[in-house]
Amino acid sequence: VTASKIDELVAGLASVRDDQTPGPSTPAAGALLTAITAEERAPVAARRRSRRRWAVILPVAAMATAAATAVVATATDTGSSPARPGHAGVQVGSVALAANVLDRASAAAEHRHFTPLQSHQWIYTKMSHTTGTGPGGVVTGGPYKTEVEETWERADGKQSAGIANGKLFVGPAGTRPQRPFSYDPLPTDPDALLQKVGVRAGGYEMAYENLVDILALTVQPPKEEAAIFQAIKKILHVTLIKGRADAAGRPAIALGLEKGAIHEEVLLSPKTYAFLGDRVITIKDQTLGSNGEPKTFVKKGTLQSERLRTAVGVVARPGQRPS
Amino acid sequence: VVLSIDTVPRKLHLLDEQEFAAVYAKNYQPLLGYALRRCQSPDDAADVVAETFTAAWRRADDLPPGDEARLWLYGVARRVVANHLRGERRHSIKTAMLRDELASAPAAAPARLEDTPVAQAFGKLPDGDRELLALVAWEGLGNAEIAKVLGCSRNAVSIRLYRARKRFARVLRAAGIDQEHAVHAAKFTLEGDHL
Repeated sequence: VTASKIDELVAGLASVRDDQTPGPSTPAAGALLTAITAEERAPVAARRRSRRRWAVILPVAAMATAAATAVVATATDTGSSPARPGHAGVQVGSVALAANVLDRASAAAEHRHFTPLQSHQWIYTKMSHTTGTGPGGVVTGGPYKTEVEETWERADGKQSAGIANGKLFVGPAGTRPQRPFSYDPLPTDPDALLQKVGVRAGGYEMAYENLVDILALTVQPPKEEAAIFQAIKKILHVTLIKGRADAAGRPAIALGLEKGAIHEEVLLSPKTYAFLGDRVITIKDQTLGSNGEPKTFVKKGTLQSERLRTAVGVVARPGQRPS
Repeated sequence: VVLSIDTVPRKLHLLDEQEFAAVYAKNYQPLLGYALRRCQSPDDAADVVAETFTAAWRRADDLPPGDEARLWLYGVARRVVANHLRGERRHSIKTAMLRDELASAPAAAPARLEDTPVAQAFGKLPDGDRELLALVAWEGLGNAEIAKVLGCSRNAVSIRLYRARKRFARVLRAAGIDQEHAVHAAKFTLEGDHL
């Protein structure tokens, strides 16, 4: 038997040739490209793990927490900028303060009123996504654009709906729940929870990101939600920024994971510790560039992307909004 | 008041939206073809295309330049297809239009491996063998290119390919399929499609 005969037989099994498929200039291909590039992408710095993790202290108010921070490297400070979305004065606090807030968030979650969800119910969320208007990659500053997105996820995570071109689109039901619903039911032990949400597969960074998505998109019972905050507490390099507002102007506690020059934050209400949103913000001045390309300067405190949950509720069917 | 400056990443290429759109346009059909040939339904294929390009957008600095981008994308698509076969189906809202389009495109009929004796024999091969043979016969890749898709050495590809072809020949023999005849039949079917 010759190799070419085998290959010919396999070739005969191909159901379609590339040139028989619809091309990249169809409206469907264009819509998909638009949807993909509209997605936020982590700044390059976020995707490159820095070997050295330095605790950072930025302007003065954080000085009180200096004792709790680890190694400090010297460099120049270009000064803080006035507080406005994207360029608020960044004050990165300590791990100890973050732990304190997470304990309180956990206690608040445990005492929250909760009605168990039925699998046929839908979770409605309204999110506003803010990103730079420039080309993809690192955002160096404003202007920003904000898009509002309404989605419905069936409580079992097996079906989702959204609005495309002004019309409600209900996706087909799947056989398995999609992420982050696929982790349900969550273990109430924080260590077991960390394992389940991805420590083994992708390390603590992946676990953190999954936990934030669980907070953002699902509705968890009190003990499970409390465990989420306890699990975040166990992740190294989670620090706190106090006295911040989100882009909607609501006061917020910003708590998050330091990854090199960026802070991946989860935003909580300072009163109820309820989830408000999440965002990526730079916490160090950074100059990026390579191979003779023009260098890009990214100032500390530059908002990279923000996702705010402006409404959430449980409804009977997709398309319905909580009253 | 102190802060640190991170080490500047050594090799950094920020693929902007326009550059990404060019990569997308160039590789859209090969990727869609790749997905359609391997998925049970056009809906799944649409998701594979969407997930693959989304991964490329998110990890744009990992995407190699030029023709190698296609091989990198095949490598990602291979893993996405494997996840779909394991039942992780999403049908994202992003692909709503594409799914509609494919549903009405006759060329996008799903692969039906159970249809012919040769297809049944092919279906009996281990996943790895099928993918190797398919990369050769469906995507038209050479050993060096396959090595890039699979992330292994060229030598490993030629050894595995040799074994895969041998196994397929054995399965065909066991099924009592005369290969000469089968090749002619396959050719006839292909040509018949164009009439």
